[in-house]
Amino acid sequence: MREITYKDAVREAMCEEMRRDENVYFMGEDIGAYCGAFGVSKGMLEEFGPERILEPPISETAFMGAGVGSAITGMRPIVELMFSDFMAVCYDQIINQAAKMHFMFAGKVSVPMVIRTASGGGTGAAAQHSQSLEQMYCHVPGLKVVVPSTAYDAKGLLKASIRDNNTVVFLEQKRLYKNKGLVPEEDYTIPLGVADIKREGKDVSIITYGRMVPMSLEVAEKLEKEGISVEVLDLRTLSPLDTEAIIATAKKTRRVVVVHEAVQFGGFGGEVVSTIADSDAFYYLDAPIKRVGALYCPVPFNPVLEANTFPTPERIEAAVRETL
Amino acid sequence: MGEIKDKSLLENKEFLRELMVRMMTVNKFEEVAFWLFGQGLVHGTMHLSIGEEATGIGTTAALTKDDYMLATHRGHGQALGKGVNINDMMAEILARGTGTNHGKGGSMHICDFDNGILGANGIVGANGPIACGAALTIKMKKIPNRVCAAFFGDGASNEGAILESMNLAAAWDLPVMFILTNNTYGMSTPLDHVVKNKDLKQRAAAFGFKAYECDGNDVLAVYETVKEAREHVVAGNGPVLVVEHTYRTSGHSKSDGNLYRTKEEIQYWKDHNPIKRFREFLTEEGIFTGEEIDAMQADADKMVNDAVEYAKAQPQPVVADLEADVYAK
Amino acid sequence: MATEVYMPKNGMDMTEGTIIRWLKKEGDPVEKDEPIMEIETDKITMESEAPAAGILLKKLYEDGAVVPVLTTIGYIGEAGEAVPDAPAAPAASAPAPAAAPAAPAPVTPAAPAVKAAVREEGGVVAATPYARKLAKDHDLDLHAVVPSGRHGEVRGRDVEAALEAAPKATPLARAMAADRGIDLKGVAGSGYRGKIMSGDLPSAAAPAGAAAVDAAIAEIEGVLARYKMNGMRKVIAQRMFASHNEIPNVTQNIKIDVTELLALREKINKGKEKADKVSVNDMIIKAVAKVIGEQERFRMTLEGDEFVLHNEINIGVAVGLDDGLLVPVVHNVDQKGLLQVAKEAKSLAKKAREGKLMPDEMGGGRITISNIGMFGTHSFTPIINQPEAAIVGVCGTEEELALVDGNVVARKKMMVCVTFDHRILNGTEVCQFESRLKQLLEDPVQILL
Repeated sequence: MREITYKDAVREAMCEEMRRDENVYFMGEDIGAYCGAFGVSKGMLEEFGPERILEPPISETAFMGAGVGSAITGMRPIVELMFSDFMAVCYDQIINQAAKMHFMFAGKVSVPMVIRTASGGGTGAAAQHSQSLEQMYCHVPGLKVVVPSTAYDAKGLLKASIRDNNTVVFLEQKRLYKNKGLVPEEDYTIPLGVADIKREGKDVSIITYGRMVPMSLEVAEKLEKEGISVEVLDLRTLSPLDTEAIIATAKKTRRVVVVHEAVQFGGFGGEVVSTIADSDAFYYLDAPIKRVGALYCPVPFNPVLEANTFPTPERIEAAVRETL
Repeated sequence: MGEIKDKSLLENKEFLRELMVRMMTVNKFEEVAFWLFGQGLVHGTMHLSIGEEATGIGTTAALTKDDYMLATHRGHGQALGKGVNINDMMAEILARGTGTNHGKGGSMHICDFDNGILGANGIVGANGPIACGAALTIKMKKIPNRVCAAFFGDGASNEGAILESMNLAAAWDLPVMFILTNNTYGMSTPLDHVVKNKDLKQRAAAFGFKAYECDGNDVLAVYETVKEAREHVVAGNGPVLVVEHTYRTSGHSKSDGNLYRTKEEIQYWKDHNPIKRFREFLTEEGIFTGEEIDAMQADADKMVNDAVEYAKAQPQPVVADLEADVYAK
Repeated sequence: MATEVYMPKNGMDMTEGTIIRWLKKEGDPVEKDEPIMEIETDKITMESEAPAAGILLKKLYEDGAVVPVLTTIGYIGEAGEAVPDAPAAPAASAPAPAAAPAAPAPVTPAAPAVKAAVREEGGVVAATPYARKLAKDHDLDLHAVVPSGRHGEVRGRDVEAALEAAPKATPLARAMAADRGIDLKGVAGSGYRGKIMSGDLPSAAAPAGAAAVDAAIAEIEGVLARYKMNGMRKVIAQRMFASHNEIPNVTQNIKIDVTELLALREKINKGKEKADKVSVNDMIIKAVAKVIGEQERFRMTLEGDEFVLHNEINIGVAVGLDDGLLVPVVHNVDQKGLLQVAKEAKSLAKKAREGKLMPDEMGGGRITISNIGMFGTHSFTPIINQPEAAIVGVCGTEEELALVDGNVVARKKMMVCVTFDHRILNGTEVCQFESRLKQLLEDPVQILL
């Protein structure tokens, strides 16, 4: 295995799937010569040409809908939204169209589309380019929601998402694009809906996903030196959710901290907490479940303000200690 | 009725009969559905297109079975014209497990993918972008002689989704037919209240593609216009806009009290409804006798009544399947 | 490894003991079984022996300390051996291991400086779901758990510690204790390895808040001084209260002519040393022994819903002390002659006054005789010494005029007051007991047979 970046892993997944299946195509703003706002699609135009690397006008509704329309007629589009915040611009096509069709049309059609988008903050891009909106998609039956935290997961999950017959909202973590990780060269996929224990522990479980996974691992490592054994469960897929893994880790360590970069209030963490409280894991809880998420405010521009908006290793550590 | 460009049409009695029967069937279907609604046998809501029969039937008559078509929420005629099974559609209206959508869609979402009906849409204007996608498939797979027709109304013409998709289709030369049925009111709002330029066909010029316009209550005019426009599209010229002017004599939906228009106005359009006009045309031209046309009406009535009997006998859907049907395998 | 010296548990009621004085100093060599301290239990003073040979390394408590039974109070080991400085809780959870250098510290945060009370709202103890589940599974009352949670809530680890520390008890004992609000920690178990049986429970707990009320009253009334109850007083109080509260008791009196008895006693004692003389009480012991030998219901105890018949004819004799009351037991009275009984009773009374009774010299009584005749009492209602079925109260002798064969003569009469447990005995049976006793005492030669 070699070490490649998260970004390269995403590109490899797309390229491999486009080579494997001619129905797969890639559409998004400035993904051609510019290689996308984050440089993910470097070299793809050269390999696949403008017939399969489509650069639409800045009309998110139109090209998201075009993705839907092509998906229900035999194509398998990968649609890139430059920033996940822009989903708000084309919400109808995702929520009312893509998510509904399979059910509303009695299973006679499916919408095999991947919406790839750069999510999260920490880049100084302020309120309209830094959000983590995954919870909004999890609430809509019919969509699948994936948030990879490592290069290995990004590639395996993206390939699985492209092969999935449903619309998958694939939330790449823009602050992780440059993170390196071991990724096999041979073909592999990671099934959607399966969480991954990134670190075994016995005292407390941090249940998290996305950018907060490496941060949680950092905290776990620090606490290990004090003899506090922290388990880190990476959900990887938020919908469908691996409730069994959540319940299992809660029962195992009896103490749970749920961490996500998204705004804590109304965030996905609430679903994780409910999953535990609603199961027999409840009887094993030995401390209130703590949540660590972003403050209830739009993401501010000033770097100090921004850093204080999101969870920090210090806040995660404090939450872990609270449960002990 | 306007001038017939292709005179040979007048000799194709079977085709003319088919157009008439279809319009009568749509009309009867909606009247019966409305009556069933009043009896409490149909729940939810439905949007009738009485008075607009020529647009759905005339347009779809000019499409092939393989052409894609996206219907509006007022789409019974569009779907029937494109070939949906009337029994299955009636079963769906009655929310049965064997309806076109297995009871999960209802009147606003009739679909029939075998006949190119990519679903009727409850979101005004959402058809435009999806049509671009279907057309993109046609283009990328280089499928010959196929278009995607997207119905939308005068109300939807002001949706960003429609304007964006007009631009996208134009930019990429996609085989999209934007079928604008201007039925005079967006729900209750007359067009001139919400636009400065009432000449909707000029929208196409702004994006650089060709527009067509016709009397939407003249089924032959509609048919001929769409046919010509379709030829323009399949020739590889990119999208077209077809504006069909018509009038909805039925209310917007079941809850419409018709407070926004006069009885006289409605009566005028009832007197000029497309079925009546086509009947007059056919008898005046001596193509069919009144008795022959009455027989067509009897056929249409029977088809609809049979559909009601069929639908009533169909089973209710199964509650247990609900969550299992959310994701595709 | 040093050997721990425990406060011994020398009787089923013993829950704590007082170290009267150490007989050895720290650093003294001791032999195994060599007395190293004197302790006082609720009933007796005794010497306690060294559990091992070696050096008395450490005394964890000084003279005068009152210590729960089984608490470590010192260490015996080899010279220079390290031993803990702090006393460990009795059989409690293993003390937190001293953090070895470089070894990771345990997760458990530092114990709160002040032993926290259970946090409670509306009668519900604040506890985590896991703690609650554990407690429920083990039938443990959360009130009995010392919480360590950040907000005063009981955590799982607290219940685990309490379960380890909690006295072993039978389910019945646990249920009864919960019902009566008794903390099992304060109860000494008589079962295997100190397991608490239902019979070990004190009969009822003092009503909560009584102390506060007492304090208020004391203030109003101008209390002079307060004296701590000693162990024996505590047991007496507990026993008396329990007996009075639990037993539906009835006292029946009978007047007995003891003229012949006193005459016979005079004959027996003639020429004997004071120490060898027979008392009226000794003769009553013999007589009572004879009656309960004949009437077995008086040898029964009540356990739950079962009557248990005992065979040994052991008679308790109440001995009043300056600050207390003890009931040494003369065993197998039926197999002993009057002189032997008299000798044993005298010896037991002496030991009782000197605090030297051994536990087995106070157990197994079937019926108790409480004689306050020396004070001239006319009649009284003695309290039953549980779990016995009855107690025989003996009053003073009074001279009465009586008609005998038409002549007025002086006779010596004595009241005997029998209090009985009406659950075990009924009135007629006690009448039969009393009339048989009267018969024996009025024709005392039968006692000697």
